[in-house]
Amino acid sequence: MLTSQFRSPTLSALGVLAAGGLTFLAACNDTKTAGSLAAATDPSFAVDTRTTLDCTKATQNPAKVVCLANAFKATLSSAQIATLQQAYTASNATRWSNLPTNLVTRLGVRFADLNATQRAAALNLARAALSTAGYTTFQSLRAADDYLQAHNTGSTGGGTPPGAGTPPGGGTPRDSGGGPPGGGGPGTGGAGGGLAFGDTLYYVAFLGAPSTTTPWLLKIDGHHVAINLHYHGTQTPTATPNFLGVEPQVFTLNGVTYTPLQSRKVAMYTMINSLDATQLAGATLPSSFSDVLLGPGQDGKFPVHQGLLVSSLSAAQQQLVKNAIEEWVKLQPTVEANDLLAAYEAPSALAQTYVGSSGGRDSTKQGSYIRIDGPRVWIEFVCQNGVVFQNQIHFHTIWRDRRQDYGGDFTF
Amino acid sequence: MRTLRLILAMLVRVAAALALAAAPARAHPMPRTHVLLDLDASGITAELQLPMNELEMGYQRPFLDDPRGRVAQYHDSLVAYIAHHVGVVAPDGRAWWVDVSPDLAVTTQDRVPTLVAHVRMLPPEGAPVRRFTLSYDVIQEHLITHRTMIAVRRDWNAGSVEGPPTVLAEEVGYPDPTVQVDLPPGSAWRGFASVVRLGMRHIAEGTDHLLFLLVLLLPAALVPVIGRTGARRWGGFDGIRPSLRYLLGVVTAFTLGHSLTLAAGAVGLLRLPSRPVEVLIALSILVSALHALRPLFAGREALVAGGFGLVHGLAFASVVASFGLDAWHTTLSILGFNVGIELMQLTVVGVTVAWLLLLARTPYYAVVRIPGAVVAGAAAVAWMLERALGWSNPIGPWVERAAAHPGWLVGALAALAGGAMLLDRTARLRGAPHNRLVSSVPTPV
Repeated sequence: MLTSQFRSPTLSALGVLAAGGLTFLAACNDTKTAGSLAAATDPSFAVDTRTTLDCTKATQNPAKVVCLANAFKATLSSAQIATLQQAYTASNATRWSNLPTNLVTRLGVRFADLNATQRAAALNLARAALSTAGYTTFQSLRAADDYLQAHNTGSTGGGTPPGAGTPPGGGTPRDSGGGPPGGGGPGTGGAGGGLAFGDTLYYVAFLGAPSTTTPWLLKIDGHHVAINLHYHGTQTPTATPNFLGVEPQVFTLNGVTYTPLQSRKVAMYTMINSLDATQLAGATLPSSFSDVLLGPGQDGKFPVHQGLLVSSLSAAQQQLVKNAIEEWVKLQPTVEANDLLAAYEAPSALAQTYVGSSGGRDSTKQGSYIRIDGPRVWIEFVCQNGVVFQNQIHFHTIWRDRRQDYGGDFTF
Repeated sequence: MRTLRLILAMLVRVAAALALAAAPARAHPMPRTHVLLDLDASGITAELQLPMNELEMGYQRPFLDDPRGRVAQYHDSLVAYIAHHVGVVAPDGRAWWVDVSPDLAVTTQDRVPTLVAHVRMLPPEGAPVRRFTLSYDVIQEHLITHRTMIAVRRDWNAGSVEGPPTVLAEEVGYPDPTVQVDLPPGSAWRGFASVVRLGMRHIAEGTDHLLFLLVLLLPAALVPVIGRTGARRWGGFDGIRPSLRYLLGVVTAFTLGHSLTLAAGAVGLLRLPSRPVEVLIALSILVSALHALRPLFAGREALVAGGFGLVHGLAFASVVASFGLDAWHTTLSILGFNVGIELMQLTVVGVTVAWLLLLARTPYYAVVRIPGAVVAGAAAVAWMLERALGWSNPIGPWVERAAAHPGWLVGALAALAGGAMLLDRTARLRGAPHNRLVSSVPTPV
């Protein structure tokens, strides 16, 4: 449980050392990187030997991920495996959402239904599938949901508030997701009444059997997190569609301050703020946005390119575009990310990549929207009024790949 | 038993429908527009529910700072804007006639101020009402991420007169804000049948209507007598023929009464606030309960049933009026609803009266009649207090909960009747004096 995961300061120091790949994060304005503390304090950083020893020989993906996927599977009951293991079909692949899990049911096994060993194995898998920074982001967004749960006055289920001392690794479902809405008397519903949040309402699903030769999808899904990791033999693994959102932007849970998507926001606004008035006019999109355009269910619905050509920008500005792209791509482990970045940032690609903007450049305003749209890369960042914290803006972001969403295995 | 099962099935469906209706609207993080279509014989009326936080971005003017004021301020251009972004095209490519009502309203949905507009849409001559292409991009034309749910709320021919809307499209919007609508043909009969079902359901769930009738039927088989003290009370069995005559009279009069006001109320000739009507309905139960204890209006039951029938009909009328149908379908609804009411009434009377008649022939009928009347009277008083003064109490709900198990109630009644007959026969075989509860010197009134 997160309540115990984000606590020990000594472990966090160890974790900062362990998190060697934080260099790009350090390059951002936001050097606090509180999120890294989150990963650091996770007790599963103290490696669970049962699930990792067998996989130490596999250093590259997909071999490593496949090994850890099978190790995770080995901890599950046959009923749990039946839930985890799904068919590799377009309809299963496209099934993910940015909404709370009680509004849209997810595929796979839920953290709430895993015991301590199983959960550690699931996190080991996630850590191998993502970069250190990516794993930190994932854990911080789970923490954000725990924070939402604690502040959602009309929440479902009546879960244990954070810090209330749930037994370590207790597999008690925090929330059935189907319980009656809280209260019942008039006026009990808060801002997010009827919405279920919590760090255990996250799911892991395998679409197709984990394999080093045949294609399969590792799905990590929950409120504000949807990661679709695609593996197929020696192909570069991809992580798109990749939805990340956060509410609230900054929060303190059990003495740790988190800013999960702060560096992404900074990179996007630094890029857009570098445009002069003429450039901004060229980047301004004709529509307004209250959410990302290509969220769940919008697979393959890429619009025609709009906005300002990146190749028309100064070298320094182009670097800011690259920095922003890297913020998303570096969710994946370095080798994989570098492969993708080589494709996304090639001069020929940048010559067909556009920057778009709508709703102004103020990240505290609903509808402020920034887009990067290339021959492959597609990134959207949008400011939305909060759902639980209605007086604050919260962020929705999506990273897609025009050619390689779900590894490019499906046509839409 | 089939009838019993029908009642049970009805009650289950009622419970399901109530559960649906009671489920609180979930605060959806992304407010959508709801377009609710009401189909009639000549065309469609669409209700547009536009969340103002999204409308602000789509219409590019502020609303939330003063929802009503802003709607009044932009009124004419808003109506034109909506008309410009709703298009309906017949299968042959001809456009429908679309007209936005100037009556714009502001409500709150999911805590978001919402603009409600109504659009009348009529197909060109010869084009079908049930098959068309709807192009809809109010708000979405500029706010490209906005989504609209399109649903059919009322469709007589499909048998949906009330209840939750049938969703046609969950999220209409980018990249293609059009919907192909092709509704199954259905028939006028389906609508009629569904209103009949609604009528049955209304009686099955309306404990108070049934209670009034049943309690009024409690003394159906008894002779009113004047006791030794001179006070009127209920005597022994009156014979099958007079009992049936009583029954027929009461049921017919009640039907005539409620049919009259149902029709008058549904077409809008007669409107009474629901509270006094509900209180009067509870009073009607109290009156018939008192009558079941002591004859108050013996021989004039039909008159009383007819009189109170008028009151019950007003409550039925409010249901039919809430369908919001055109004149022709309202007429059909009045007829269908009444048929349904009648069917359910006769069913209930059918499964209970036989046992009451059997019981009334034994000396033990008072064991059912008096507690029955007392419970009904108590419920009536409880409902009156609750409905008139808002003084809530558990008695009404208790009775309603008991009424939710009609099978058990009728079974218990049957068992009582069987037991009473057995006891009676044993007693008679032993030569005990017959009908000890009847006054020894009955004086027919």
